[in-house]
Amino acid sequence: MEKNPLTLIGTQLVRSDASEKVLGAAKYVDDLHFSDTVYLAIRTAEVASGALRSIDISKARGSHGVLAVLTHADIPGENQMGSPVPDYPILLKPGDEIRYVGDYVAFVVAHTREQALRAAEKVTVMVAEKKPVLSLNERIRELQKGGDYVPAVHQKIRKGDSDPKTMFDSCDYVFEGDFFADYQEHAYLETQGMIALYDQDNVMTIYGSMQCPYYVQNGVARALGFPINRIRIIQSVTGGAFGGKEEVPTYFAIPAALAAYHLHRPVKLVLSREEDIQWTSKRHPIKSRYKVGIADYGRLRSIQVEAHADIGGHSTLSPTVLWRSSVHAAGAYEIPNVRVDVYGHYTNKVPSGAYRGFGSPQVFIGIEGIIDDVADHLKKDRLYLRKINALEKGKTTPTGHLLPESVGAKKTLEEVERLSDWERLKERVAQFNREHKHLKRGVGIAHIHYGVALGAMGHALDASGAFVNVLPDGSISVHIGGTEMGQGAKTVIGAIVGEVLQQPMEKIHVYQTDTFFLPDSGPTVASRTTVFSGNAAVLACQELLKTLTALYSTEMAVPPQSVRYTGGVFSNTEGQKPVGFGELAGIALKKNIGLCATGWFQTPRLTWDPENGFGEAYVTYSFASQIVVVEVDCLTAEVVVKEVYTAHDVGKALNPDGVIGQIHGGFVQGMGYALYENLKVNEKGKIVSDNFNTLTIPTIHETPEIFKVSIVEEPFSKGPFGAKGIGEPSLIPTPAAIANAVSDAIGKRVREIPIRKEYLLDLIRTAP
Amino acid sequence: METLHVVYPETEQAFIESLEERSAILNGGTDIHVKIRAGKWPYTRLVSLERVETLKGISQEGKYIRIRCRTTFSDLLANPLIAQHFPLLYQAAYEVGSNQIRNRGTLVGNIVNASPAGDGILALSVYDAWLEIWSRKGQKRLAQIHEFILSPGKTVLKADEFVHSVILQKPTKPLRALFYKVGQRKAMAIAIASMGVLLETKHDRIKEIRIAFGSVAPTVVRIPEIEERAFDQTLNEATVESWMPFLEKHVVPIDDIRSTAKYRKEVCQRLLYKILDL
Ligand SMILES: Cc1cc2nc3c(=O)[nH]c(=O)nc-3n(C[C@H](O)[C@H](O)[C@H](O)COP(=O)(O)OP(=O)(O)OC[C@H]3O[C@@H](n4cnc5c(N)ncnc54)[C@H](O)[C@@H]3O)c2cc1C
Repeated sequence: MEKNPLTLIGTQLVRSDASEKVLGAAKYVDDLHFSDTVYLAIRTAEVASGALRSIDISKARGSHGVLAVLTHADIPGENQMGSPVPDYPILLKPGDEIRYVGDYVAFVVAHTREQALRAAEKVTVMVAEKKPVLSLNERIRELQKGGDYVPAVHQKIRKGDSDPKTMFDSCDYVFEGDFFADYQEHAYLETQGMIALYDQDNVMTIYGSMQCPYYVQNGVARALGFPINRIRIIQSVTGGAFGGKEEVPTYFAIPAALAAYHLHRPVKLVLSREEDIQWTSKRHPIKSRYKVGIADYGRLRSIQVEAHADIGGHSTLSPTVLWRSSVHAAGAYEIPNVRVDVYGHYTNKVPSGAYRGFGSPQVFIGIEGIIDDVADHLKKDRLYLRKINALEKGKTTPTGHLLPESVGAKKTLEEVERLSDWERLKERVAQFNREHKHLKRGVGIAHIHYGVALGAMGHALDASGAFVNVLPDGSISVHIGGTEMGQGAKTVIGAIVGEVLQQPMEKIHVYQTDTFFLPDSGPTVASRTTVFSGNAAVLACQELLKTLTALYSTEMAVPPQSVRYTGGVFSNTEGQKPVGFGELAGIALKKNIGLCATGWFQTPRLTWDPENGFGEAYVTYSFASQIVVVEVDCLTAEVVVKEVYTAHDVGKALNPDGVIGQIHGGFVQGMGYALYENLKVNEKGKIVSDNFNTLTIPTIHETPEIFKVSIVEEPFSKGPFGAKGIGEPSLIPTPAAIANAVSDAIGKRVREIPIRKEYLLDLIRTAP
Repeated sequence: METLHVVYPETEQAFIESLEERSAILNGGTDIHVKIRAGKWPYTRLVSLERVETLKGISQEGKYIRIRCRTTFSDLLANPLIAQHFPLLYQAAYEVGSNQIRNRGTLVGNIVNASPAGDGILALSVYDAWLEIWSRKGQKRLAQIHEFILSPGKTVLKADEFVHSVILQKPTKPLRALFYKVGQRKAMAIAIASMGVLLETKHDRIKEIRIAFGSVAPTVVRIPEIEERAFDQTLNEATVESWMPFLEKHVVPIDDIRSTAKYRKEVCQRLLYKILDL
């Protein structure tokens, strides 16, 4: 069939969930009410390290309003929620090791949440306390000492000459530097929340705030010892996630389900902000050491990276997060010789986990900082140095992935050069600095790539389904395995369906994700949903068009190859005998022809050598370049971002407003990481900045007024309409760009994010 | 959580009669709510000022200005008397929280909360404000802001007293004002350190300076040594640097969740340079 001009893709779309959210009509989990609901509170260990001696629940059980107090003995299935590494018991039993303050000891269920909370305090726990390991440095020293300490995770990349003794021999200059990126809190608007109940078909049904319903389904089945077909997960409207609702919601669905299992009543668990900040994952703190060798007037020749991550008390997703760190650690450049080692260390703190960018922003600050060092040392323009090292079609990434297509890397650099009026910008900033004594401006650049979807390490999960059903009135319902969590998945999938079926958005309804409709479609993470759910939707729609074309051909006695479908109307080659989509759908259904189809998209195969850490890491890469201008008050070490110029290669912007929204939001979140967040853990391993009065994230007042975006479109042939991902690449360059800009302003390299005032003032005082 | 009873008297008289030993006054509630949530609020009965119209507003009484206790920061910002005569108070009010907080939060609530970080307190401190205190029995007394606040969260108020209003004397000469707050971010931030300065110069010579710091000692502190010595000094970098040692005695910060003592100390010294731009 011929190609039609695009009518929805690439146009300005109205977000399909906008009005319900703006009007407050959307039902988040706490807005859902079932009769006879009871409430759950979690009693945690409250000690960061030690052995659990005993649990006494008698007082809690007798507390007012209490219906049940559940402990390890009440788990019908496996007392384990750690995946892939089984290091995370649901409920500790006497003798078990406590690994962080938030480990579960008991679940208390009562008529009200207050009663449950009060009773939870009455659970008495005896612990043989141990001195907790709270510092990453302590672990790094242990590793360096040799001996029998084995880090929990070790991911590596080896390319070309990766022998540290020889790999720098052929380099003209060698640069080294240490960097540190601390925690970041997701700070989603809606805290974690779940309701579990035996619903229709006597199936354990869970409504909750989440991004990966299939993870929750598998985790709950394991805990209850149920076959997976007796667990149904319905994602309620989710108020932000950013990775924080990838692995974590399982840890709250399990308690709710366990209580619903025992009490046969709906059980609600919605966390307070304090509980949420204390118990849920954060971005991994990562310390890194970079060594970079240069040859040929600025070409990157060799790179060695050693990085250490604090994974907290349980390993959860750390092996995958740190694999991604290793793949991105050498940056978005062509480098012949690469050696990367990323280690993950247990500490007695909250488990680190998935967070938009998945272990990459922490390492990009390293490579991007060093690139500036190189440029400054060689007296070359920082943008130019990135350009001459940038990836292109036909070049290989630092993991040895030969890029066949869709490499907009250089174009993004050219775009920020144009947007910012680069030469004039540098002059403008220099002029400002000549005129000001205590206020100094600085310009920073960052250039990144980002592997789309789960990649070679996540092959087994990297497939997605979509189910499209055309109803007798021509309306279309769409179910996808990916989720809407605020990023706009429903809108973009609706647009894809509308485009392929040539139907207006109003006719299409994309539903909340429900595990009863589709097979395990993997997680909604890794900037993969537009590509994966989108491709699955395309496949389903193509199936439907095939059916409709065949029907039209028999009904109108037109040979199948001469059926035309344009503007939602079937006709013959001459445009005669027109029948509209809705009308033909009506005919089909009257003739008992099914108009529903499932699309199933599997990831293209990748060749990867896990032993040596070499090969095709991801199906494709998004690219971005960003320039920011900051102003530093050198008296107080306060930093304000004044201007942003950012260019993103997204393959194809299916919903341009959505892409820009992601870029704005990702920037502000990345800026919060770079400048404002200050997560504090006390000497007992407890997070004490557990509300937004002390854990500061940016407000609209911190958001820069000058913000220019350019969208680069280098199509990805296996993406829907050429699309790649934008969800995470929108954030990733920002911390590096800001760190570089602050360094530029003060004339000294910033090696740490968040750039705390206390740290920055020390740098300013000692700057040349 | 205990049940909290809130009463809403509608007249000044009814309000005064409602005050009991075990009750506290609910003004804008922006400090009280935070404390209730954190489980740090001992009272179970609140007497709200919300409906007592006569306790709201700003009036001029000769050379004085009276700000009644129900007056919010937004009210201060909207009143030309404040902008004209008390620019430092205006600037401080402007920097409190957000629109929503300024619409509810009151100057008197800020004072009685007695936080060393209170932006309103800092401004009132440099204006040497007076507080008119009323008791249940109908007695009135005046206390100066400096003696009113004893330590973090503690004031001289007795159980049967409340703050009726703030009294400010209009300055007889125009003083330039600077309020500067270092926070964790630009808006919606509690001060890590703050500085308030009133300045009069003539041909680059200082005729009068009043200077106070917030968040760097148990209460807001004035720096009398600078204020006394500065007369007739030339306002330049050397002068400002010569003042730095005088901070030593008064600026005695602590480490807390928002920042460190070291940073606070150093930043106070460096903030002095901002006076040069005034
Ligand atoms: C998000 C947020 C941001 C904030 N930002 C700032 C900021 O930037 N700067 C700042 O200084 N503060 C800030 N605050 C703190 C608070 O808003 C201010 O201290 C405000 O002025 C308190 O006034 P209120 O009327 O709300 O006091 P309330 O909470 O009603 O009362 C505070 C205390 O004063 C007592 N009280 C009130 N009125 C009287 C009276 N007439 N007589 C005797 N006692 C009385 C109350 O009993 C209570 O003990 C912030 C608070 C929040 C929640």
